[in-house]
Amino acid sequence: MTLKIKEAIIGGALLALGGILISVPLTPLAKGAGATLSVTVTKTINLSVLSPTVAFPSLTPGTAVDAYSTSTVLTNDSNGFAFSFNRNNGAASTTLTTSTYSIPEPTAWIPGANTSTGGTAALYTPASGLAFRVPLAGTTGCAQSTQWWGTNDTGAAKYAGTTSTISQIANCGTYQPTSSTVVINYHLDVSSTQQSGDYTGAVTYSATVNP
Amino acid sequence: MNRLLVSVLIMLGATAIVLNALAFEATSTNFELHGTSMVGIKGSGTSTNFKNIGAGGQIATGLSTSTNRKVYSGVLYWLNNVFTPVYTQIHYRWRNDNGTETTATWAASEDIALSSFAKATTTRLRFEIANKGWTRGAGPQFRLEYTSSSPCNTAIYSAVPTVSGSDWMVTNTPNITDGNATTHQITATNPFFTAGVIKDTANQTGALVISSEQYSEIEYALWANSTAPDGASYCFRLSNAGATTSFSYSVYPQVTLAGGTSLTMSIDTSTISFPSLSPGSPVIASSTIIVTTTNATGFNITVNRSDTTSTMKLGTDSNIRINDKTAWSAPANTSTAGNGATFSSTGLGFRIKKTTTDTGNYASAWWGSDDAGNALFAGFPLSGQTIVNRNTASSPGTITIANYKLDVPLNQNNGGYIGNIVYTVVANP
Repeated sequence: MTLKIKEAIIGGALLALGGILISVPLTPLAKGAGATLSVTVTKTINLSVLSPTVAFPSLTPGTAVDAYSTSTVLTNDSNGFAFSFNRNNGAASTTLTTSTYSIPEPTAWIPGANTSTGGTAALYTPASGLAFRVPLAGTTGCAQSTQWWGTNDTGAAKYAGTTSTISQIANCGTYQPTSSTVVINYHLDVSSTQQSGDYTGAVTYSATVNP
Repeated sequence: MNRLLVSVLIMLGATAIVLNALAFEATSTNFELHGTSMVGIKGSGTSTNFKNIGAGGQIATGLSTSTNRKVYSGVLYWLNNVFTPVYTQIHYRWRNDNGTETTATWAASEDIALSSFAKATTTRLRFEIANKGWTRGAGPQFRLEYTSSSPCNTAIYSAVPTVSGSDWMVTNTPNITDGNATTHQITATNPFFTAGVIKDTANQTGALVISSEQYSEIEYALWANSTAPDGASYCFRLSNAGATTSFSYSVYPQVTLAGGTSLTMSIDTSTISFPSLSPGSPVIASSTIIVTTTNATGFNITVNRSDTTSTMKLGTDSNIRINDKTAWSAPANTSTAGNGATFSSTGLGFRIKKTTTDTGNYASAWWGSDDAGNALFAGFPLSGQTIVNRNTASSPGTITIANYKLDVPLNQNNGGYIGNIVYTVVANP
């Protein structure tokens, strides 16, 4: 199965300042004048997805497989950034499909009001289809949320189904002098009745500066 | 004004002591207070209906046991400090010494300084003093004073002497007679004129009463001695025999002597605002500096930043800064290459722009052969470093364009950054 991913970058912008005259009277044959330089550095953000294509290993129903997608975000915003995700196919309720069939998903992701408030992710039920989460491993600390994705990447890991609504899946609320990493773990298992075939689907990642 | 004082006192106490500088005793419960001058309230009484109370930092004298009526004796002291005269030096006018108190012509318009004034030339200076306060006392003895320091309002003044040895002196002139009364000549600023005096043998008048709502004019004949420095500038004022209590100064007569070398510098704006900077997309700004000097050997301009760490810092966090390019270090002469470099990567740099800058102010060896690919930039130094050195006079003024260029890395904290720089121009020896 191939999960195709598209990336998007969203940034921001800002304003400018004023200054003061300092007059420095010196001897009659010397004069001084001061000036104030000012500039406003606008907010910028860069999003890089290391691999636009996420391919699962071959899937035997009943034996879950995992795939990972790694993105990096660099922003100068003093308030950090938000990382969002959405399924491209808004007409369907699942991501992975053939021309005829689709792979189900658990409850679609809805984030909490903030990263300290739980979202709709839950422990994975076997054979419940395609789910995703943001693991602790590999994700920059400020972008991790144990409330949203569980306190570890094993027994307490929480997963959610995809959503066609652009939804935050990670948020780093502080200035980061270097690039931040956000990893997405795709987890997939199907029932024995799942039709065989090549299933594909596209999702979009977004990174925005925090207000 | 005296009626006003009495009215206030009546409001304070329905019963009081008659004020005629004598003590007064009474047992009445109905008294009025009348005053013709401000003296302390004294007296004693055994009445149970009035009491003498210290106030305004003053101790009330007299005895009283009343709990019903009070006279705040010290209020008179307080009022004494409130209702004071305010002798305001409000206008002046320089005058030629070519006539009498009424016929002499004017050397300049009212409240306009003299420039290029010839030394050892008698001139006359007329002051208008308006009392914007109250009438008190015998009146000031107006003394003519001067200073060569600036600004006028904070400088230390000295009396203009009547003998040589200082830069200025009051000088005798046959056109006037010391002590004669003045007539109204300058713009009136109070309703009533009272004659002042004209002086040419002394720097100080006798006691001159200028009552409330009055103004007067006082004129002095003086000159700058030949030993005064060429091109020196002076401020003048009147005081009360050296004291400035109850004086206020709206204007200060000023004069600049002829001769000497002049030097002026102007910068088109004290606020140099770059466009909004998106990291990775450099922005530029510029300043126009105009220097005018009669100095035959020209001038040099230095620049330095004010902050010891770097020029620009984040307004909300002074620990977050924009890096400067390598600080400019001026060579010994304008023919020797400096340490400027083509602008690359990030940081704040500056240079002198060739286009529009006067040829005599531009050094290709320092700033590059053009303003494009060969343009050389440097960072603002902490201590003043020469950026322009012109070896000829600059009159009329010549132009120097300072260019600033700025870029920051992608992780430069967003927000507003500011920083101060200082330009200094000095006439070359």
